[in-house]
Amino acid sequence: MRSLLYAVDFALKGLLRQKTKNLSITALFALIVFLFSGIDFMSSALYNETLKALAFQPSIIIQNVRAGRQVPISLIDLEQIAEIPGVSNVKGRVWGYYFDPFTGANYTIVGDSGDLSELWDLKPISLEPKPPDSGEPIIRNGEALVGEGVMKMRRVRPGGLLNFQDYAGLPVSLKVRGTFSSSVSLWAHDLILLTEGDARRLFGLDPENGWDIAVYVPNEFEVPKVGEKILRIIPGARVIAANQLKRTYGSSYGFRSGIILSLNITCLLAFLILAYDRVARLSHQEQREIAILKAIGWQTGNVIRLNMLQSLILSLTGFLVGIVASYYHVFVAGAPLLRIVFAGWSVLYPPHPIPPSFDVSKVFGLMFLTVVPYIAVGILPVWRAAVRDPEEVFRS
Amino acid sequence: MSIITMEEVTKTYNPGKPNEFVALNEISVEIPSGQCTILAGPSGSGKTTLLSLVGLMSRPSSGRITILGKETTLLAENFRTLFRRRHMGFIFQHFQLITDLTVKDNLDLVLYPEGNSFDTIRERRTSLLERFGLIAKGAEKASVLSGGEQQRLAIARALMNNPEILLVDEPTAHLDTALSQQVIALFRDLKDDGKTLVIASHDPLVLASGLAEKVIHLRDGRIIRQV
Repeated sequence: MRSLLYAVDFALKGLLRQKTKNLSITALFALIVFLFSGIDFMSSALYNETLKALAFQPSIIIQNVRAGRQVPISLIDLEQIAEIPGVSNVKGRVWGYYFDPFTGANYTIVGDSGDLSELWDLKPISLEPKPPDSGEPIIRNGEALVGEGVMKMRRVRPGGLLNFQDYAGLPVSLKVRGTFSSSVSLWAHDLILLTEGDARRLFGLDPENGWDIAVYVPNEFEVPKVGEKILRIIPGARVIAANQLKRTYGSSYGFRSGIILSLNITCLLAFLILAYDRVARLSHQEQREIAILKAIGWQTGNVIRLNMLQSLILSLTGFLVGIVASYYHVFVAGAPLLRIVFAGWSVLYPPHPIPPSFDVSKVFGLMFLTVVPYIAVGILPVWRAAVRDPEEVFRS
Repeated sequence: MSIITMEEVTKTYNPGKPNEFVALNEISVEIPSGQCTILAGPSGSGKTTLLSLVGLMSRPSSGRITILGKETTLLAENFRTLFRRRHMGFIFQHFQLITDLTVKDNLDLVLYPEGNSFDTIRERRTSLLERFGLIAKGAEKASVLSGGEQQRLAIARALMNNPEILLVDEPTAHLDTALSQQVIALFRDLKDDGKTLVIASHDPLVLASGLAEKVIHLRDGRIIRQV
């Protein structure tokens, strides 16, 4: 144990003797880890957030499709669907997108049908808080709860007015009642929650139609059967189960992260080649020092252990710096360098969007793929130098 | 009583190649214990090669070398290193210090693999630094020491493990007369401590110093005279 401590001490001194070179390698190592872990942090955190949000989503969504495009769906069949065994609740939903020509942003408009706020865990910061058991709706006609991004883009505060144009070009004014808690900012950043009536007015959607139908089935094993029965009631409808959405989101983030990761693998390979080149050819000075250590009684194992310790200190430092920087970049700074890859077409990026969430085993996996090869590539040349007779090295 | 015995030792470099070179040719030598033996001869006579073989830093092409009663020729690499660490100190012609480490670190390195306590290492290091007049230089890098100081540091390093045998290669090659005499005086002290010294030198000052009980003259890899 003591000899190991001495080896650590000497390894550190050895690394400090070549500060510039070793700092450069550490920085390069940190950059590679930063790139890799950033992609992983981002995709897994977004996917987890998606899963959390989907937990509040209905078990089945029914859409009406014409010519491959979604169109409003008649709500005439709601009662019949509600009678399907296993279905606990059915409702038509009114929601859509609003393109704001002044800011160039797309807002998500959702008509509150009463229980939506509970389902989405929305927490309004009201100007005049109402007791939760007052029974009053959170918003009334002419009022809206808006996401922070919308408030920022439209430069409006709670109590202010938001002006829109409805489908026919007529003005619609809404009083901002409040915003959403930061815990749902990822989902609510571009959201405007109106009463169902106001949403219908904005979109020109009559009361017999909704944008889709939400069906709640408490027992997930009954979902496929319920889906089949819905198709018998509304032939030609698109019936989407929640687990299908999960798979879609998973493959979407997997695809995006896969593209970036494949680029990163090129970087990693380049780094490993560089590392191999660095350690595979020991300089004459390095060989001479190994010969000196051998001459004063260091065994081959001592020399290899010293080299491994130096590589471990260097690569682990680079790894930790990379991981911490990546964590800060993704979970604190809002991933400015990666958002464009994952956020798609939206211009309303959430400000502090991603609650920390990552797979520890993947972090260890990345450590295994970077630190271990770096240490390993150094062993062979050091061993080769260490088994040479010191006299042979001194003579060369 | 001899502490080192070499029997018909030959050392050939690059055997079978066009640049094959026989550095030592069937040498048989006995080095007495607790005494000073000088290997004398011109450059290229095989002094350093003989010293390296005795120091187990290279292997003979043929012949046997017995040190402290142990036949070392067939020892595996790790046992040779361990044997060197436990029983021998080597002072190189070019000192072979790690010059960008401090004086203290150069000394401590010797005892690291043994796993001695920090106190033991510090005591040993301090006593050697005092003995060789380097106590004030402990925190300085070896590269800033003068030639004489580097020589003393190299001697101190060779003594860190308190070896029975001290192998010294051209100790005065880079020193002026005054410093050479100081180094010779140091070796005399070490001999008085009971160390066995084997010194390779062609410096007349060393040969005339009366330090050695035995002088082995080499030329072209052969012993031409033993006194």
